[in-house]
Amino acid sequence: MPVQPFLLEQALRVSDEKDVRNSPIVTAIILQDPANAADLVPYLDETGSVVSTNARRILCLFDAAAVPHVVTALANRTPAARMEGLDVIWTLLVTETAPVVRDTLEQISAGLEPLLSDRRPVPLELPSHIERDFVGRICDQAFLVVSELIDPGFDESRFRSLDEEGRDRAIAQLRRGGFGRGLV
Amino acid sequence: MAAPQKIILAAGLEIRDSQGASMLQYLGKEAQAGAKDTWTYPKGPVAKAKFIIKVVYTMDEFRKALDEAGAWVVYEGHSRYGQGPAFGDARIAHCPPKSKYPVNPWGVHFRMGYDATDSECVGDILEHAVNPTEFDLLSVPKGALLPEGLEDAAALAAAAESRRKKGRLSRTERKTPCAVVGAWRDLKTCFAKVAAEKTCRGDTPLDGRHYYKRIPGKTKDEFITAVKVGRADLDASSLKCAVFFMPSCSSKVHYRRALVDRRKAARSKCKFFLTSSVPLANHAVNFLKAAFAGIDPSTRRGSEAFLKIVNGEKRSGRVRLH
Repeated sequence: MPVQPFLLEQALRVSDEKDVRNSPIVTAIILQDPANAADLVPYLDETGSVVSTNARRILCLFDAAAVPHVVTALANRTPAARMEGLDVIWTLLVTETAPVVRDTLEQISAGLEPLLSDRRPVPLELPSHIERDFVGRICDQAFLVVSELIDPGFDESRFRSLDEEGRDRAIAQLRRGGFGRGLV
Repeated sequence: MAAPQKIILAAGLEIRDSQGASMLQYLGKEAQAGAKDTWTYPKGPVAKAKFIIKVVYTMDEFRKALDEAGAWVVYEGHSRYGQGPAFGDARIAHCPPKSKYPVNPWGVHFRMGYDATDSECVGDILEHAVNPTEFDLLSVPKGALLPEGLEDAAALAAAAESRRKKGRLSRTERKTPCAVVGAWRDLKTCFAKVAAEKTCRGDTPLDGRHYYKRIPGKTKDEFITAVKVGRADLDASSLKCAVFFMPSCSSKVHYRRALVDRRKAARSKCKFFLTSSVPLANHAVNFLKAAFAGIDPSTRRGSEAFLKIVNGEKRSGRVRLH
């Protein structure tokens, strides 16, 4: 059942003090229909806001059935929203069985294309006390999410150590081979 | 009434001042303070406590935590580029003075990784004034356990060295040997000024060190080297804890292999929650919130609920059960 926009807004405005995940609007209405996930995705654009924080928290409560809706809704979003979206996809699939992960990835393969070809840098400023780690581009992170969902033991150190050209080749290989085959 | 669940929160050096401070604030608000660095939850009579929470700041305490039967253990701290958890005093400087710290805590690690890891000559070794043992990429012992990225680096270095020995370097490479891609190069030969840089402790840890990759920077170049790690500390652990959550930079990338091997060898049933990227969320707090809400991460259903909560937080670092 589609959620009324005013109810969605009401849920998303819940302060950080009260956990939005306990809101009856979330549990009784929003989470009842996986398609509602698509309505939450645009709020991920609003970096640093409570609505963006709450949108992600709610999105992560769905299950694998919501993944196609999330992916479709990410099509025209900002790099920040796309990064959040990748984390959401990760969350919705990381507890699923291998067949469900593969089937879902196959189902959303067209929707993943814009993410796997998005060469914009990940908008992440690491605080000075955090040691340098691999951040890369949106397409790099999409590659890592897909690769690790397929294979929990995937050693990403090889991909991380490649230059952009090398990573582009690995991504192209993944896209050509289909998900679950042809990983670097 | 069931015995209270023990939660041990190990706060690593430096991170104890940021995420660690949030954790103490949360405990101060939600739990009941007991003996030093110990709390019970919920507030009220200790006899009715469901959780006993202990915050620890040293490697010995962390070591014991991993061996404590049934405990839920969290290490929130630096990965140190895969060199292992590190502990130290509050508000410790990046370059602690020798007078106060004859042994530099930035260079003391709980070893639980691959045989070697890649590290930064400038961003780590100089910045933290440490002197990790170099891992010679040209003499990798047979059967050495390396991350694939470092395996590739060793292969490339060996190939470059072989071409050099056989006189097969190109004319350009012979002219500028420091520019041979992937070669295991002496920093002193190629960048003498960098190699001679002194730390605030008066040491020159880059003198005699090699690098295999140069990353040009806006103000300073970075040089990637290989350093020895190993897993001796983990291999001495019984891993009797029920849960080990490690929200530190790419803990899955650096430590999964050794953890999974050790769990098998020790016949442990410990469940590992590891991150695939940089976690900036207050995960020790998130762990406590989930536990206090009745989520048991040691069960299948509880681990699923826990993952939805931790990954629901921005910059979660993508946590997974391993």
